[in-house]
Amino acid sequence: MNGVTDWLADRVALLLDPDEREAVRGDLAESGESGPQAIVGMAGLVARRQAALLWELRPWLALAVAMWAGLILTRQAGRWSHQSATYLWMYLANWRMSDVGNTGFWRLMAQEIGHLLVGCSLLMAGSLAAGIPMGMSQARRNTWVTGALFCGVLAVANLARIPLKPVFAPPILWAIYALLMQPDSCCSRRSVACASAETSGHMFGTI
Amino acid sequence: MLGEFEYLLLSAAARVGENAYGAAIRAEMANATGKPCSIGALYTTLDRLETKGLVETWMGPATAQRGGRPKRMVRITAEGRKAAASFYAAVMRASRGVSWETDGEGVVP
Repeated sequence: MNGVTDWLADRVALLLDPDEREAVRGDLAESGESGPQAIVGMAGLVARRQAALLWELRPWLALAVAMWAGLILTRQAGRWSHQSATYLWMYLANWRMSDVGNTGFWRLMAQEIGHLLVGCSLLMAGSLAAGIPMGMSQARRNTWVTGALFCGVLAVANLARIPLKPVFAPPILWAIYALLMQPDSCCSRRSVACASAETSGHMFGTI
Repeated sequence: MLGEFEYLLLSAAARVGENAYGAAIRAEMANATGKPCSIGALYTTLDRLETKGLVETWMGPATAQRGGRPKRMVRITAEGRKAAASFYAAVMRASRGVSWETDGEGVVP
């Protein structure tokens, strides 16, 4: 195989389970099949594997979780942004030294910080709750099927004029869908920090 | 009851014997049928047969001929032998008294 076909074969083979990948590539090498033939053979196997996954619950579950988690988390992020973040900005913009001695100033600030922390905790809990089932239901071999399903549902929703604007909000596209595409279940742990950081960044960016 | 391709795979694995693995079975099937066997069809059928308990597979040794990659070894189980025998007997019974010689234009039963 030359460099390009070798590289392509490697990319296609990544969609197979490790043991199967090695066995299949070994079989193709042993039977002396050329680069393009090997790629077509492996692509056929990958297509059969992906088609078989459509009959499993996992990609559908991941899709359902992504859609609902996207809607819920975006709504929560918007609420948090409009309430707590606006108050914080007002405090920062109108802060005076004389306020320091005012009891009401400190009481209100504590109240707003409390709201901020509760909102932040809710977002983290939401990210975690969405990340665990997605991480458990997601594997590298499911990536293409899940991506195709996601695009298919968006296309249908677009044709049916269903508003899906929250799903396209930056926090969801950056954090949740990226999380959905992670290959292993440990992504659910990473997702907490990632989703929270991205969501916070987006919210403060909207102030 | 087995499918036609499943039977062909079991027969090829039986012919190869103890050292049956993906590439050897594939070559044997191509020899027997005169048609190439796609690697996708082979591996998905192997999985199906394993799920049904008709074959056992495990990762075997690697060889230099395979670029240092391991083989997926295949062994037919007792259930697999029974299923293949049953399929063969059914085909033999169904073929009794039938001749599939052709007259040049079509099949003459």
